[in-house]
Amino acid sequence: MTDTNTQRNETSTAKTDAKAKQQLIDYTGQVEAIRRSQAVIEFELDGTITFANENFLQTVGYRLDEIVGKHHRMFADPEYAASAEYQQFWDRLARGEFFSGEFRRLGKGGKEIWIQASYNPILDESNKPFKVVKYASDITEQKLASADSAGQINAIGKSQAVIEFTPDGTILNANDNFLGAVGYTLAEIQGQHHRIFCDPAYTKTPEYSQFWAKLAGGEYEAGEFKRFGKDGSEIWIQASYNPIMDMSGKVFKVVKYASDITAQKQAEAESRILSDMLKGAGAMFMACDKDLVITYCNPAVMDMLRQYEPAIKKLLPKFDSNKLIGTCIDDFHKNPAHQRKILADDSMLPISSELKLGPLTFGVRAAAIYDADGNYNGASVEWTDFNDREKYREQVSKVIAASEAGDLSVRGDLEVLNDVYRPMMEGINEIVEAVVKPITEASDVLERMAEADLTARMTGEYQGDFNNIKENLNRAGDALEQALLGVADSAGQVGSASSQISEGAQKLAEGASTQASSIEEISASLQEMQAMTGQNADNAGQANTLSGEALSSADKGNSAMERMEGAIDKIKSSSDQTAKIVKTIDEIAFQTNLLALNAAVEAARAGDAGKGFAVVAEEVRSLAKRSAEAAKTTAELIDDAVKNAEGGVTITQDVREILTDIVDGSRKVNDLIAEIASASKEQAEGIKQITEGVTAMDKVTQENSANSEESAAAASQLNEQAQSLNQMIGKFTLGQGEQQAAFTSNGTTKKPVTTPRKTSAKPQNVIPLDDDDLAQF
Amino acid sequence: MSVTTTTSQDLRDQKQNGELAGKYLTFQLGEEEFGVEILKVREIIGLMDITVVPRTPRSIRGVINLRGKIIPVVDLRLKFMMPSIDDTEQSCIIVVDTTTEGRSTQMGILVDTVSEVLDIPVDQIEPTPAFGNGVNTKFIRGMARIEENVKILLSIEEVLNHIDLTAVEAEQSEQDTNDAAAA
Repeated sequence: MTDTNTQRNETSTAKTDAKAKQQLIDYTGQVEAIRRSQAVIEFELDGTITFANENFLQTVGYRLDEIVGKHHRMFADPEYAASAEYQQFWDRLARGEFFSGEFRRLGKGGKEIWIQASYNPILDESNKPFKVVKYASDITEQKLASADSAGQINAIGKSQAVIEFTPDGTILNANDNFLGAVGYTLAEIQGQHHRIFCDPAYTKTPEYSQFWAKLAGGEYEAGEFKRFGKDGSEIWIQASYNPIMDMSGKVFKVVKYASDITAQKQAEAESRILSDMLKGAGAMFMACDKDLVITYCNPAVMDMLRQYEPAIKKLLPKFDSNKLIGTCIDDFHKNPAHQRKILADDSMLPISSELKLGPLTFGVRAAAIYDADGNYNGASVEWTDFNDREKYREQVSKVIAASEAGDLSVRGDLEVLNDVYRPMMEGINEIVEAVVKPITEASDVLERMAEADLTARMTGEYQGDFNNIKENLNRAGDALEQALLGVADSAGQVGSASSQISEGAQKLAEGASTQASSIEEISASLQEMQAMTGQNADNAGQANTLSGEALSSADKGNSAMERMEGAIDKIKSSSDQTAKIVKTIDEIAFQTNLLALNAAVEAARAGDAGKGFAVVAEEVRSLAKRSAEAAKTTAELIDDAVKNAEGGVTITQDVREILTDIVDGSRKVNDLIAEIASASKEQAEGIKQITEGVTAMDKVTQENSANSEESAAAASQLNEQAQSLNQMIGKFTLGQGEQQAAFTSNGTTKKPVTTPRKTSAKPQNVIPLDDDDLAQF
Repeated sequence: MSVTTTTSQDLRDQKQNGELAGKYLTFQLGEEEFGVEILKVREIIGLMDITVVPRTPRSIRGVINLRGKIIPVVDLRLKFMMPSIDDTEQSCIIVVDTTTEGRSTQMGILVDTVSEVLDIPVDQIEPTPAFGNGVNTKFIRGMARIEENVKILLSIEEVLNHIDLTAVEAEQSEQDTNDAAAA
């Protein structure tokens, strides 16, 4: 590298000084020296080979003419030569970039060659590259040696889980074994920190930081570690963390070799669980080896045997509960051969039997124990203490026997029982108690009911069937009490009802009496009505006659009036004629007067000669005057007569109208009287029917009287019966005592029934009505 | 006429009254009785057809043809400014002789009715009483006491002359002229 730098400097400075030709010669000499010692090849910028020295040709095994004009890719792995990376490599060289390193190349016949090489773009005067010179040395042998050690490392990697870290714990690489154990892919963990495999709580501890600090410091770590897989599963590993140092002794990475010991760890945990279980168990276990020497006793069996130690010692003086382990179990048996025979053969196992030691009884159950290879290696023995069970049996038998004999007062003795059986015995005692209590109470209640106290009830709190008994008994009591209350109530009601009936009957009797007198009055009224009806008929007849007479008179009056009218008309016409005559007379008198006056005038004119004539004229005038006065009087009289006649006509007309009215009125009166007559007849008929009705009513009244009497008697009897019923019920004690008091007051309301008056509407008072009576109508 | 002490006035009155005594034709207008000297009366006729003459006073009823002689008729009620009445059967016309401006003429006066011819003695006649200044009583000759009543005695010439008699005369005169011309 230093050489190439130097050369580049030389190349860059070569043409800067024209005067330095000497120096150029010096450089050329050096280049030649390099060419002699190194493998050199030159390319155009695109990679076409232009030259190679002997060293290079030897290395690759080609002749010069075989490679000049060819491209550099002929030395490259064809796969690599086709890659963009390779193309880029040449592009970068063409731009003047410099490369150096170890490269894998292929020699003639595909021989693998490792070279240490530098690719040096050579720049022209304008600093533009115009060719590439490569200096290389063959490092193939060196490479193969390192490959050997790498192969060994690979072998480790195949058998072990391997993971590499930077000194700070960042994951660099891991092999398949490791990845398989943790369940990650390499891509998932590369660049991650080691803590992803650890309990997060642990990674926060100073201990963990220290762990990595130590490794970074070059300290080696080994042991069993708990780690976690990708799925969170717990993994136990046996691992070593190996810091790898560079030549300067500085740690540049940490390699960890690990093996998965999870299964082993789990087995350990399981065995610990079993051991602890046995230690803490209430069940009593011991184990013996093939020679029946006791190898293990759990605390429970020790305690139990210690408890019976004095008793056991009486039979087996050598027995010592503290020295069981190491003792042969033969010591427990009178006939050890039998046990030996059984326990010698694992095909007989497991087996249960009872072990009698004097008064003591134990249950023993033996099971086989095998070693890792499945060989019969001893037996486990489970003990059961039957001694308390026996006591319990005795107590239970005692209670059952007493119960069967009907004595429910006997209870099991709890004092003699241990903690196992005491609660059981207590339970049995409670059961008996539970049975006894409701039965006793039921018995008491029934006794009270038998003594007529129907208010007695079971009040205790019971469950299930006992509660059913309680409820049914109480319901029976309720029903009985309700029934008798109902009877008492009914008796009360019957009593009060009979009293009411009695009162009703009395009122009925009074009513009948009143009715009878009313009927009598009705009879009398009917009689009067009968008489009045007769009178009516008479009057109607008379009225009829009178109205007939009035009618004929009116007719006569009418015709007389007609005649009168005719007469008046005649008078009127006569008067008119007379008036004319009178008027004529009056005119004559007037003229006569005038003549007389004129005569008087003439006489006066005549003087004395006319005196006599004047007297005559005066006489004439006087006659004329009297005549006029007479005519005047006559006229007045005639006028009066005519006026009177006319007045007569008017009156006549009025009279005629009145007469017509009288005639009409008379007819109507006639009709009305006929109706009155017919109504009177119907009235008489009606009265007859009423009379019959009254007779029937009287009869019914009589019957009513009799019925009310009977009803009163029956009510009285009913009342007595109700009273006696009530007395019967009174013997019972019932919930609602006021029932009796109410009845007693009703029972005393009995009243004597008034006998109804024995009167009747006498039949002879009934008016006989015949049609004959109405014939006059 | 036995008078012990008489004055000249009395005498004159007696003389006058003596002149007034005589026969009178009495007639009625309404309730009142009037008298006219019998010698002035020519004739009494009943009511007859009266021909109305135009352009004459209302009191002139018209003219009648009395047996060929045309005579004017005066409604005396109207002449005396009394309320007019319809004619009756009693209504009469009294034909009287009168003198106007020296000329003798006949006229009819329409009255309600004629009563009688009375001969009134002097002692029943009283002179016309004075009714105060300005009251013309020239047409009354005097007052006649008949029983309890008073009859007014008329001077018929004065009655007829006093009131528009000139016009009547003129008519009369014309009539006469016409008659003469016709004759």
